[in-house]
Amino acid sequence: MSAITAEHENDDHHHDHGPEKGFLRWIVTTNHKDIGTLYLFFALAMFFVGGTMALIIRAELFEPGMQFVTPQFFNSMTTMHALVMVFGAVMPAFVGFANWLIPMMIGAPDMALPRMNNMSFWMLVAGVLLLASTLFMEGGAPASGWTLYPPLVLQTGAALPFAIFSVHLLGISSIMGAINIIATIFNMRAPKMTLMKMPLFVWTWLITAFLLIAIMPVFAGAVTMLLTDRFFDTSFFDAAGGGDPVLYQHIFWFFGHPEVYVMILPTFGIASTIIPVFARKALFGYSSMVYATAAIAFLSFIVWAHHMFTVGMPMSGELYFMYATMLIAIPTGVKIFNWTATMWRGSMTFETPMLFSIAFVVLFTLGGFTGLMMALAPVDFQYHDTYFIVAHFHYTLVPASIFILMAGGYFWLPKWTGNMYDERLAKLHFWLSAVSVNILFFPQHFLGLAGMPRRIPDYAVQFSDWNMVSSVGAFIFGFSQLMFVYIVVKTIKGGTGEKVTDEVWEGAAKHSLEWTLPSPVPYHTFATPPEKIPSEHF
Amino acid sequence: MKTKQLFAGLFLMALSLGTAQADYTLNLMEGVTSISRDVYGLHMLVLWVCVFIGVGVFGVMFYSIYFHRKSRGYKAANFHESTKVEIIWTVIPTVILILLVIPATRVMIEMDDVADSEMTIKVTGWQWKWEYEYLDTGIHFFSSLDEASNKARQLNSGIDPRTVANYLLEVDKPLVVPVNTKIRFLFTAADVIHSWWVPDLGWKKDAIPGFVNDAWTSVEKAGTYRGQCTELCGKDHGFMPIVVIAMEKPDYEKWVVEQKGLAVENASAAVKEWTKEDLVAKGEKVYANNCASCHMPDGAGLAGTFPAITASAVVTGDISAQVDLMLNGKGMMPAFGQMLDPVDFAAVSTFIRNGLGNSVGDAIQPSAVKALQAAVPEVVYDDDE
Amino acid sequence: MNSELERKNKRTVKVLLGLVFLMFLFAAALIPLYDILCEITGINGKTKKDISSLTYKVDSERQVTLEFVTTVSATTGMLFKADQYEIKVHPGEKITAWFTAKNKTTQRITAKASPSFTPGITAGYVKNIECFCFSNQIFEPGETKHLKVQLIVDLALAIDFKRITFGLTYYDITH
Repeated sequence: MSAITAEHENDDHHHDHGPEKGFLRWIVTTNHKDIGTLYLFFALAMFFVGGTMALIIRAELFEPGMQFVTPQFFNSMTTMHALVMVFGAVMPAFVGFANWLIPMMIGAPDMALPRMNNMSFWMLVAGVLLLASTLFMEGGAPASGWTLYPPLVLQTGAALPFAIFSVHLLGISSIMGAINIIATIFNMRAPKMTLMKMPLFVWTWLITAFLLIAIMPVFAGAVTMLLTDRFFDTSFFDAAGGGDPVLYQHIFWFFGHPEVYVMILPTFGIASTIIPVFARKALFGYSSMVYATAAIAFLSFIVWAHHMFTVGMPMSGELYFMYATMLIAIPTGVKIFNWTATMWRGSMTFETPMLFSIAFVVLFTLGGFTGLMMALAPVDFQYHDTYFIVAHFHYTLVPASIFILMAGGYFWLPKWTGNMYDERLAKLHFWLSAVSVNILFFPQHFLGLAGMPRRIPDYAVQFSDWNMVSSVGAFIFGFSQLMFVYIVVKTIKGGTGEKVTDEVWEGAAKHSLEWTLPSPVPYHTFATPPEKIPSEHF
Repeated sequence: MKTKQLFAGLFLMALSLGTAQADYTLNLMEGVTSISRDVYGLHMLVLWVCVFIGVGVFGVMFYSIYFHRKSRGYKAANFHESTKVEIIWTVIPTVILILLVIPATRVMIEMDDVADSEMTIKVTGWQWKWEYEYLDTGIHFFSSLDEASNKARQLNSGIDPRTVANYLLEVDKPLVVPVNTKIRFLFTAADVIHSWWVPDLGWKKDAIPGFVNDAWTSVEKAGTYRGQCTELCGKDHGFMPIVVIAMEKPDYEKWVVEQKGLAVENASAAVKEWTKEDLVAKGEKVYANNCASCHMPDGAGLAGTFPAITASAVVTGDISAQVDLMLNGKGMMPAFGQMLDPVDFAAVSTFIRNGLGNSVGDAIQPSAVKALQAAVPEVVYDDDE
Repeated sequence: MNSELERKNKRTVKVLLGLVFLMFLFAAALIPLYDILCEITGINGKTKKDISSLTYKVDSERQVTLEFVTTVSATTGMLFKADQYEIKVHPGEKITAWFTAKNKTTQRITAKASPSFTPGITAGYVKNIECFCFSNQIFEPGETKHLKVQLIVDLALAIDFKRITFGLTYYDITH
């Protein structure tokens, strides 16, 4: 153990003291662990806010006929559910993990820019609160889908400028977070931590951060043009003035496609970190994992119009985007094969993080299959904007990103708190989630194929049965997640009472640096860089 | 174990609650055109490819999960790289993708070929109805959700949708086409983006304001085919279905003649003098189909977005100002002069002044509306060549 | 934090902020880039005024049908029709098509028509010499206007295209 920070010889003034006393600690903190915790709790809270909206949607869709909400409010719910989950829950949760883990994984004392770190968190909170406030404005919250397509979005009531300003805040927050992460990874690594020795979670975040820097300004630009179209008489997207609504879709998806990879690449990173530990074996094909991640990130910039096969592109365009999209299957396949090969001839145990990770590999692969199906442009003319696509992207987000976030929570919580979570309850949480998530989303494939469009508040009666099944699954899944809160709180308060070792999981210290630190992790770590670098991952 | 039983129970319960009309399908429909069958074939091909890969990958994974576990005393091997294996599992998927791309490209090219069509129908998306124009014969009408569905779909309507025939998939006036005829469709929109989808035809196409998209079909079997708008287009996006009736050619010819007769009939109805009571009675239906989705069935409107009809200053004021606003639109209010024929227009104008809690007492005749809607005068060419 | 690290961090931040700025410029540049891309690939069949090289040989062997489709936006109180549904033309031949538009309201309207060709790729092969859609029109209450479009189908148009649709949508842009 080379780097316990009992002393602070080389330390910067930020780190001279322990945490501030009382509530103020959480407002002014610049400590990467505190900020990581803030991000994670905020994301968890937003997960429940977005989840509540999802349950309102599923309650309305439980039976044909309109029972609970007006169609306009229903549309607001689908829009806000997506925006809250993407910008309020999943992205901040991964930033939370990045804050907690990247410095510890590369042997750095903190993030490179601690004050900016604090600012980007509070800007996120401001952005999400502003977004939520639109629910109470005249004309209601935005109801044009999270894609905010014009001309429909321009029919939004008083909420439009506020929603757009909140997108600006969220964008600035993400960009600041991304700059911080890149600066940390480039400049703060322990001397012996070369790039190709970094854990994959660090690698995937490095690539994700570059994606964010590339796309967030584009999105900000697009929504700003919406704003000027509505209030300043421009007509970027308005056919009346010679603009083109399809142009917005191109710009949006130039942002939007990399954006969905922002949510999945760190997922790959955490899965690649957890699976080797419980297989007691090195990650198979470390360097091919890095290259595959980079390849996926690159491809994400040249496939955007596969979201728009039905807008009437010239055939050459349709064919190009079909071919380019199908290429994504290759690096993604490499990743799945690598995880399988990592498990192959390992000595596996199945603690909760591993269970969630295996479920991720299996269910994400299902989402990948439907992705491949939709890449075929002529068939996508049938799948597009039906429940089939809803099933597809929820498979790549819920049992993928969300499951891996849960896996990461269970995996590192003992390290962070020094207490063990209740394995029995956690396994119950896993099984409830894994079964219900399939009851929730699998029938949506059938609904889509049978012809049910997405974003409709009511449906023809032949869709009744599977909607009912899906809604039952949704409520089981939603309420099961309350168990996670209970388990986390219980663990923080002392858990099972059993003190965990520094390594927590058998052999974990061979894989990554954070397991060489004491449990619970001290407030300040790696004031002096570690000398020995774990060697399992290359 | 207990939880699993619980789930199985819930699952079965959910299934058994299903309706008598449970003619749900699990798979994509094959449809009634050569394109839709090609698309179905591609869908099944890629589905089986996925199943095949899935069985392989998951097979290996679950073998490993079962046999390579610590609890069975399995010792971890020590390998973490193999260039050979990596190359194999890069090359094989590439080959599979190429094999998929070939038929997909062929179908794409076929779909794109709108040449040599025998007739053209222009489809315009409106919030929230479809406008159909047969460019060759001049037949022209709007098609919106039928009355029974529209009543049942109101919040807490008390009507069980299961008792409504073709709930949400029925329109007041369906699109009628002949079978075995190459029909070209042109798509555009009057307000926001819509998307026209009838699954049995094998594709959907966006209707984009300011631009025109095209697509084609040739229906091989007479019958009724239903679809919906598939691009979110505002609050009633879920309530603008599409119904296509494909007829044998002689039946279709008869329908065309009928439509032309109907146009003449409508014209004479517009000339005759109507009583106020008849107009109000007819107007109530027109209101339910065209106005109620925004101004609400009881005329109360939606605060902040859609003004109330009841006690409205416009509706209780000068009738010509009201008619002018309805004809030509204002803000989000569409120009209904384009959408309603003189009789329906006069009827609904009269209804809202004498119903929904208003009682102004006057009426407007279809002939007066017709005069206001006046068609464009004959064109005089002043060729400057 | 030592000063060496601080210097490195500052440099990284500067470079990355530069990147952010570049991407913002890129988003703005997408507007003109898109127009150029549309011209090349025919996305959406955009068209613009083109009076170059009016001396065309007429190919009287070949015939293409030009079809005219009119739409009025939902909130525009106008009537708008093409005087002819279609015109059969020989490539290289200059044709004139007429449209009639009427303001049905009691207000003065400023209106503009939005043009597009379908299939989009043909937009590059129809010379749009004159079109009322290139400028705004002012309609007095009840006023009717006869509006003119002059087109030449390019000889280079691929042989597969036998029918070209010229769509025009009128928008009330009065403020």
